[in-house]
Parts: sequence; structure tokens; C-alpha cells
Amino acid sequence: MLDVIDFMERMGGDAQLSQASPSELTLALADTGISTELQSAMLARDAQQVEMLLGTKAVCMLVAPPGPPGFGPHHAPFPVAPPPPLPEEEWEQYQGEH
Amino acid sequence: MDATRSSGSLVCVGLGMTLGAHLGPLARSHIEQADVVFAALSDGVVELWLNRMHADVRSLQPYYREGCSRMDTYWQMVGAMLAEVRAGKRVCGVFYGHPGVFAWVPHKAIEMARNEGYHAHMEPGVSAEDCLYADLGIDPGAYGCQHFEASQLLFYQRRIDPTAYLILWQVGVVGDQSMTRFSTNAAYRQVLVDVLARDYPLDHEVIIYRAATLPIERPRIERIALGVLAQAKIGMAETIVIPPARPMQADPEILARLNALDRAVGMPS
Ligand SMILES: C[S@@+](CC[C@H](N)C(=O)[O-])C[C@H]1O[C@@H](n2cnc3c(N)ncnc32)[C@H](O)[C@@H]1O
Repeated sequence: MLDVIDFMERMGGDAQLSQASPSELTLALADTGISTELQSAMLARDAQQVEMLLGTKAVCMLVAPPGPPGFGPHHAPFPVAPPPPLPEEEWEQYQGEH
Repeated sequence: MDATRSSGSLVCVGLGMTLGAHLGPLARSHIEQADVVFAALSDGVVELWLNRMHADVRSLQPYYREGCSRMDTYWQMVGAMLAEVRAGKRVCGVFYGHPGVFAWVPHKAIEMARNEGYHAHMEPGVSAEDCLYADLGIDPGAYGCQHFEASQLLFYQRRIDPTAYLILWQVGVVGDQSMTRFSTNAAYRQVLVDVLARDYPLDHEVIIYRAATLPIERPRIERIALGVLAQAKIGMAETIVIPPARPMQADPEILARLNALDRAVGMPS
């Protein structure tokens, strides 16, 4: 008896099963203890329905910051790319001041 | 700083993109042998899978809150992992894909743990980039390949090489300067289109790509014209691939130099 997570782990790592045709997948699923609802979601390759039936939800998956200029050292205490060059007048003024 | 501190360690590993398909034996062993596992994964089903590998898996998901700066969220994630390292635990951070590809948190956590004298390292994983080369039949060596975080193309003046592939990450939140949103709308993507239109014709093909995260899925591969990219449905998990728009130009000056060198060493050129 395999549950849905075991089955997907096996499917992900099995050369034949990962490429299974709908009929092969139906056959493989029939040997498991997976509910018919989940089986049909899997056969329909409907990941959202699988998520819903398992009670999990879509997650945020962003862990890379774009680092907008001026985000400030408090928010971006990492080596941000230097801010874009100043427009020419501001640059001249800046040089005059420094 | 105590460089000889022995207890407490951090390893960041990648689970790969597709459940069951990409997790390597070394990464799996790190997960199984850790005292505490932290997880930032691509979907809830994959989290259920990871929960089977260790009794103490702590999801980093609750730190994300729309409206809060993602930068604060990232620091909280780093802080949560480091607190356990400092408590003397063997900590394993598990991230989907490759833990070091477009992923600030694992790099920062490792850097900080090392600075505090703890052993910390990263194990590579299979990233979205790896999957797209396979699914789209692209060899980055054929014409070269530039990768950009999409917002960076808007915030900064970057140089795009339209004779190479261009791969854009995090297009789903492109242009979000606040770093508080989980998506931005078509108007923001239109700014991206306008920036890209400096280098590409609007009828140039772009590919919307999403690798399968569950083995029952097929990758999303949608080819559209650049001009309609703003109207396309693009979420957090999509990557945009832009094939070269122009042939590479020969560099006669350098070729002449190389020819002269060839002659000098007696090579036919
Ligand atoms: C914070 S990055 C993390 C990338 C991840 N560390 C990796 O190794 O692929 C998030 C971005 O990765 C890309 N990405 C994430 N999941 C993907 C998927 N299933 N298919 C294609 N690209 C994906 C998207 O560009 C997304 O905006």
C-alpha cells in the first residue's frame, strides 16, 4: 500500500513510471491505497487539485531580492549593486560638493 | 570570534525541482542526519514529502506575509536558522531547486554562520535553470546565456546581449520596489516589455517556462510574442526565456590578431 506522497516519490525516481502513459499510470495507481479522487487528479495531471485534496496550499517561493536602489542599508545590509549613476547635473553638483 | 567552535553547524541543500526526481544522496543524508531541518520549498506537497525525511522539519513559510518587506522576511529566516546553530545544533536548510541560485537566504546564513566560527557550507541542487536547458533543448554554450533577476533590468541600466539567450527570473513580481508584494500586474510587465523592446523586436518569440514540481505534471512551455508578454499569466514560479534575436558578429580586429599569432607559431589559419 502506497500513499500519494510515496507514490509520487517513486514516480519521480522511476525511469518508466516517470514517463508513464495514461494507461500505465492508471494501472500503477490501481495497486495503491490512494483515494479515487486523488487518483483521478493525478491522472489528469492536475497539481492544483492534488494540493487541494491533500489540504496543502500554494506557497510563496521567493528568496532572492532584486535590491532596488535606495532600499537603504537597514533593509539591504548586503552588497547591493551600486545605485544607477546620477544624471549629469546632479553628478556635477555632487563632484563640486566633494 | 571563535574559529574553533565545534558544535553547531549549518548546511544548505537543494531538493531539486521535481518531487522524487532530483534529490541527491548527499543532500538527503544531510537532511536525515541533521538535528533540525528548516524548509523553504516550492509547494505544499513537496513539504509533505520532506516531512517524511525528518521528525523536526520547520517550514520557513510562515515568515512570508504579503505587505511585509520580503527583506525583513529573509532576515527572519536567516535568524531562525542561526539561532539553532548557535544553540549547538546541526542545522540543515532545505531549499527547492539549487540553494544558491537566485536565493539570498542560504548564502547569507552560511556567510554569517562562518563569520561566527561555525562550520557552514552548501550542497548544490538541480535548479530551474538546469530543468529549462533539458526541457527547452537549450545549450547555454551555443550562444551564451545571460541571467537576470527581472526587476534588476528595470531598476538598473544593464547591458543585454541580444545575440545570447536571456533568462529572466522572478518576472511575476517584476518592478516591485517595495518588496512587499507576491505579484505585480500587467502594467509592470509592460514596463519590462518596453525595456526589452530596446533590444528585441516586439514580434520576437519569448518562452514562458515552468518546470514540473510534481512528477505527475508536465512543464509549462508557452511561446508568445514579446509584445503580448504583459498580458500573459505569469506567477511566482515562471521563468522567461528569450532566444537570441541576432547572429553573433565576428570581431575582425581580434581575428586578425589571432591570425598573426597563428602565423608566428607556424599554424595554418
Ligand atoms: C527565488 S528564485 C529560486 C530559484 C531556485 N533556487 C532554483 O534553483 O531554481 C524564484 C524564481 O525561480 C524560478 N522558478 C521557480 N520555480 C520554477 C519552476 N517550477 N519552473 C521554472 N522556474 C522556476 C522563477 O523565475 C522564480 O521567480
